Amino acid sequence: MFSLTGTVMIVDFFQGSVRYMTPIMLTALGLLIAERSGVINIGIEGTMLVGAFTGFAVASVTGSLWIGMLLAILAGVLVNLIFAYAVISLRAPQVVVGTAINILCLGITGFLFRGLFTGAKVIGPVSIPTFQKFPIPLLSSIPFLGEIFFNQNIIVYMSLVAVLVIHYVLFRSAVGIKIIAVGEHPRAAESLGISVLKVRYLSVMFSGAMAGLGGAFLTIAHANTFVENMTSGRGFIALAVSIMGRRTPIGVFLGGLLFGGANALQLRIQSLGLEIAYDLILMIPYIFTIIAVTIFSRNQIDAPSSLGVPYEKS
Amino acid sequence: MSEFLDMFKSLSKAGLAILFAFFVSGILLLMVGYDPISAYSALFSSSVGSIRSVSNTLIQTSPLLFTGIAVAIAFKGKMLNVGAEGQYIAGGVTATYLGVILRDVNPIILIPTILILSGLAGALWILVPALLKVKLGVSEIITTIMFNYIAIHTMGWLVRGPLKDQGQTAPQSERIVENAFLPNLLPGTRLHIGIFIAVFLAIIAFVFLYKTYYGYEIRSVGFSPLASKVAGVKVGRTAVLTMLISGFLAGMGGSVELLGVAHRLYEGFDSGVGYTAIAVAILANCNPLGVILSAWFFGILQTGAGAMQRLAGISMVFVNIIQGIVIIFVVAANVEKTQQDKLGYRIKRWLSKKDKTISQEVD
Repeated sequence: MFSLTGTVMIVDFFQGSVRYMTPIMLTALGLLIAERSGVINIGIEGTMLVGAFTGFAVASVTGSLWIGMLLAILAGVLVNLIFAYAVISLRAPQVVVGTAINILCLGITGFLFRGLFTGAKVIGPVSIPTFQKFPIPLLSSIPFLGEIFFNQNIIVYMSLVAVLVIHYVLFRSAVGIKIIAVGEHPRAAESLGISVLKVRYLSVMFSGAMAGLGGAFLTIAHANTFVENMTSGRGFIALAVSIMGRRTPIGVFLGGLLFGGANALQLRIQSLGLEIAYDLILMIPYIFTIIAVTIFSRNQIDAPSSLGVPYEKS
Repeated sequence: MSEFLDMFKSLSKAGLAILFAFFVSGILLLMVGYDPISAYSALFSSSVGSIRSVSNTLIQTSPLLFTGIAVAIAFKGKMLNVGAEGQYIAGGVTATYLGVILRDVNPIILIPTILILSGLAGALWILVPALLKVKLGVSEIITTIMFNYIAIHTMGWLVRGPLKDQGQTAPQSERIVENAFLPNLLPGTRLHIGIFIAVFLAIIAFVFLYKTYYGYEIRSVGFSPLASKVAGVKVGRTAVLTMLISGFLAGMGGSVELLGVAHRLYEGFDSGVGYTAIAVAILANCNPLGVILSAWFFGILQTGAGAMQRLAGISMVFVNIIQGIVIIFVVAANVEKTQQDKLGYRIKRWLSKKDKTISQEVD
């Protein structure tokens, strides 16, 4: 039987999972669209980092979290536009360009943060307010689930809505059919009059918007400041979640929950003060990722056929 | 000789990309309110300005050269090893352990033993991603990245726990025995023979890739696994071998850094070497001889980054901006060339012939 404090702890635990998974899930939702169209982007880690920094910097300078969020999304689109140009128009290898984007974004965000917020010339405060919890009337009073899903901040709600919207768009609309067709058989899609390049550009840009928002969550809805390289692998984990969720929004949602759970579990074990080395507990999400990716991606039967292959117009 | 002509062309492209990257980053410096001239002069005077700084740069170059060749070989075989970081740590950890416990062994035996065992540790660290890739088709990109994080946390655990130097408060291992130190090259500096080993291995790697049958197999699998399979290459075996060689080199790089400079393990020992290695390999178009130059260039940036932070207050990650821009431009410039590559062309022609015979058979 659960005592009252036991129930509170469990709700806490799940609430924590949802908060942890939100940036990863937002990013993975964008990635699945890009991957469905045939583009794999490990530079997404960098895109998230730019989103985190832009959200922070703009919120700090303007004092508005909303403007921060908006510009973080735009910044994410911009980063992915560079990526898209290199891999779609120039047909450069996707993994290499992705790595370069990661290196570049780590540099730009770290450099600007130090130069503009902690150095001699300071343009805004180092700590900013964050989006607070905003319980949704009625829904938040559902026992258990209400507290976990509907007593959260606004970006968490946006991610939940995004799951449904993307599911609808991908599987129930003409746009979704185009994206899938381009990923599965670009040549055939082209012959039906679909512009492969355009679909891929838009998919990658959309993915940038989602990663920008996901990254911004870290600063404007979670920590109240920016830290160099603060995404610490979340973009890579989002790539894994997208594969795990078989590139479907519902799958990504469930995969994201699993990951959130693994991470919250790790925090919980730490707080229990057990005699397990702290560093070994920190490994849990990464080991978990390998196992999950192995189980869910065996032979990649469900991967889009043209994933990672540049398209050359005939 | 055509490899050398290609190298010269790549070199001039790389040079242009580097100039361009410095220019763009300079504008960025100006915009944020730094003086680019004094920043860049700090960068270069600390990295190539004196004998001391040249040797500092060479010290930074050797780990990049080891991991750079590691990535270059893997990429030639289209095995996307993003995990040189983890393999480098595996090598460093092994070297620490052996260097601490093997007390009374002659350096002539001790050092090569440690280097080889550390290399094997690096190979072991990539074994699981390699097998998952070949047996189950799991993307090596994700698994090697995850193994990096596992290595980083394992190292953190070791330096706080089992390997911790109890005499120190800071989380670091005991110092290795002096017998295991790599011999010094230049008295008065910390320059060690690691850079020679690295250059030597780069040359071996070049010969291996371009002049031996195994190297040819690796490159042909890199161009087209399908075509190689049809031609009788054991694709899975070649892929695993490629990754193991790559892990071995990265692991040995970690031990050279440990025996040559660090002498003990501490958190942050890896300092992103494995990711920079990808940039190093790409700048050289994955040619092991080119990697020598590009590792040196990145060594200059790494050395200069420290000076820019000390003298001008610019974040050390600033050089990442230069690195990122260089890579994007080099990759973009090399796209056409890759498509004209001789081996690629031969495979394509051979495949299209095969195609014709197959379709004739069907007819």
